Amino acid sequence: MFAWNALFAPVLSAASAAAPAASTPGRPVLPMVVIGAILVATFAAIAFEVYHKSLAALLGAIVAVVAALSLGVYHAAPGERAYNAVHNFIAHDLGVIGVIVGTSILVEIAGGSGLFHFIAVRLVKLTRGRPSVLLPAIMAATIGFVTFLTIAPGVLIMSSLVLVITKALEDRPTPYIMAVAIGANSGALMTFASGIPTLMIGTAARIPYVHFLAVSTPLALLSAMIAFAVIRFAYRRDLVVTGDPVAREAKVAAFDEWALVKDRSIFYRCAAILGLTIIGFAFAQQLGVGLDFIALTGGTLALLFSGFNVEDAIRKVKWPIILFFVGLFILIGTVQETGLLNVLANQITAIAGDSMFLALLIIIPFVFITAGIVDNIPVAATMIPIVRNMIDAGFAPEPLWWSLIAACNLGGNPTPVGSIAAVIALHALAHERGIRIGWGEYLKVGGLITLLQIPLVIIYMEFYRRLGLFPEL
Amino acid sequence: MTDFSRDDLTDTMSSFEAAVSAPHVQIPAIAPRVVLLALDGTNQDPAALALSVAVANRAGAAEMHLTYAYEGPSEPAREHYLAERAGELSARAGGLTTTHSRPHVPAGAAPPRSFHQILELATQRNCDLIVMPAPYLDDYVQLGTTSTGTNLDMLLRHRRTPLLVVREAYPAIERCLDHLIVPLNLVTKRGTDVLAWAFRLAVPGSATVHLVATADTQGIAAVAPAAGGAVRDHDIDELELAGLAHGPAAGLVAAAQRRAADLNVACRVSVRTGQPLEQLLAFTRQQERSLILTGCPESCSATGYLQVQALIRESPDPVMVI
Repeated sequence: MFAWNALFAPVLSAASAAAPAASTPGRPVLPMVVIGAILVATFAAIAFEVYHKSLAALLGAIVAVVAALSLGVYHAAPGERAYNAVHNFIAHDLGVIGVIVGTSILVEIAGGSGLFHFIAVRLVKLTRGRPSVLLPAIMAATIGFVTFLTIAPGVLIMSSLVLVITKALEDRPTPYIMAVAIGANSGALMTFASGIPTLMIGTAARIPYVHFLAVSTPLALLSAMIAFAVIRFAYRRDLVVTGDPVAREAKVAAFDEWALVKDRSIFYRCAAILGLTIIGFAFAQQLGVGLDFIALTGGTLALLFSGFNVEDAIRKVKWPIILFFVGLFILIGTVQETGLLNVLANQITAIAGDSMFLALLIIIPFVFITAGIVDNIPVAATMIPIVRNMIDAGFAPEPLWWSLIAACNLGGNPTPVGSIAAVIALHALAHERGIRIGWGEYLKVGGLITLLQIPLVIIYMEFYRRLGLFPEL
Repeated sequence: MTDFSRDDLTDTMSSFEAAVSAPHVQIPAIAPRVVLLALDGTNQDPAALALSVAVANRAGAAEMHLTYAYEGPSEPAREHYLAERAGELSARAGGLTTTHSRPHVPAGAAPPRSFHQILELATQRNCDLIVMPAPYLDDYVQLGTTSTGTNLDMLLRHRRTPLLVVREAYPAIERCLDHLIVPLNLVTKRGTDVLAWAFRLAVPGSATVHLVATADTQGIAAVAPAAGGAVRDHDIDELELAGLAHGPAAGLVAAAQRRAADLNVACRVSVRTGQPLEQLLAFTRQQERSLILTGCPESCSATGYLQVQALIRESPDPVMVI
């Protein structure tokens, strides 16, 4: 630590001189300013894709740790190194990483059987290719796949399906791609493990899995209805049958879903393991284990019984996102150590007073907007300690945690970079069909949906709060 | 889980392309009635006998005919050998009717070549399948020749019925019917017939039909520099290269999976990358015992024909050419 301080001494003394007096009792301002700036710079690098987001998060974490060690931010217990704090940040959120690794393996193996693709094509055949039925079917299927497969695999399957069938039917793919990109964020709200922000907040708040069915699932469906109505209206001119309707129906009927099946037996085994894993999630609390244990057990069983090559399946785990989380957790943990997030929480508490409604009016739109600009995962990571501080200050936990879950997921809707769902769907559209949806077009649809979903979430939370419908945490 | 790669997208797109472009093909119903086993007097014969009986029973054949083709006049020792094997066949044939004979040679005429005798007999008795042993020898493979021996070469060239070649004489050879391997790259126009045989031989609940498709990336890599570019991993769409994303192969997969579902037989698609024959043989080695079923072009100068010849030569497992 001394070496670091010596190294940075000239910079620190200059910065200390320039910094205002500490505004939080017992907390120096300089670390807040320096490490807060590192946080903002990292988020900007993620938002504007200056670097790959994993690299940006790791780089931000390294710079933040160096600064924190230099400024003496970490508090070491007697006989311990200050640096141990970094390990504690990662250890604190190890559960989230465990869930991601376990479900990645399970979903990869189950998806490899080709039966999710089979289900998707069969669903399209049921619509007979009629746009009036196809659009809601695509949205419903997206929500369904995201609910059980998580957001990235669900969106990959549905985006690919949309691009292939619209090409075959000579339809414009944009309305369907928008339905996938935006519907997926509603799907991420459905259960504990459907979306990463949901998982992070649910883990931090220790929300039992079954509570999601009571609070989050109805909101997910309501938000999807709003999104559907707006997309249906915005693209009404594109959602008409082109060409001969009879020939179109015949073309759809000729799609052969059996060409997608790689192995039925693997599917049945994985479907059983996936089902058991979901049941395990629901009863994890009663079983006295974490969701990470359930997810890793599911992943291990899939490796054991699927006949898949173990190394191939493990290689498919999205390691970049794991590194992204490691960097993010260290960065946010370090910022939290400076007390900056306490300051922000105190500011919100000061404005809201003891009014929960006012607090919701501040948090929900704020999270919606920032999640739309940055990426909803870092926003969730930043907001978790802030909400925790507000709860410590006397606010009821349930409305705050549920609002955060809703706003972080739906907050990805207004912009093309707000959520991984939009990034995947729009990339697929541009790469495979050469169609680019600009910020303007996306904002018109996504922005309108967000403008309607913000009041929906506020009213929904207030309604649940006033009627005492939130299950107690 | 929250990230994706271009490979993921390409794979998923190719899968759906297959569903949209797969031609609707039907696997024909086959009812083989007579199986001809042509012995050659080597130590391969017991294995060929065991496998023929297993194949005939699973295929629902009614009759099995045994012969011993050799050039020159009849020899008592060889006739005795044939009679002994016929007795052995009767003992283990179950419900099969068993017969044995040598082709009729008119008095005074020069005995025809062995392969002619077999082909003649197959025609006379309306055989639906010819089974023939052909010793598997490592050192023979290492010679690098394309030939599999005159008789087998000629049978492959002139046959009008499917041909089952029994290679290495391993114990309990009938267990190879638990893993029926269909190389999609080699089945050519006979794909549906190959699948018909595969599903005819597959026992529900115990057998697996493996559809193996190989993306020949080495071939692509070899021509890429000439085309002015190198091939990067993410440029390669395995499903597309293996032929599974479009056309006949996609249609065959669909037909196979539909039939597998109807019969409750396990059917697994495996995609491999590399040189097709090497990959196919590597895949067969991963199974404990297997039977390879393949189509074969009629023209002996066709690439596919030479590949099938090479497959028979290099495979220690039995190969059925439809």
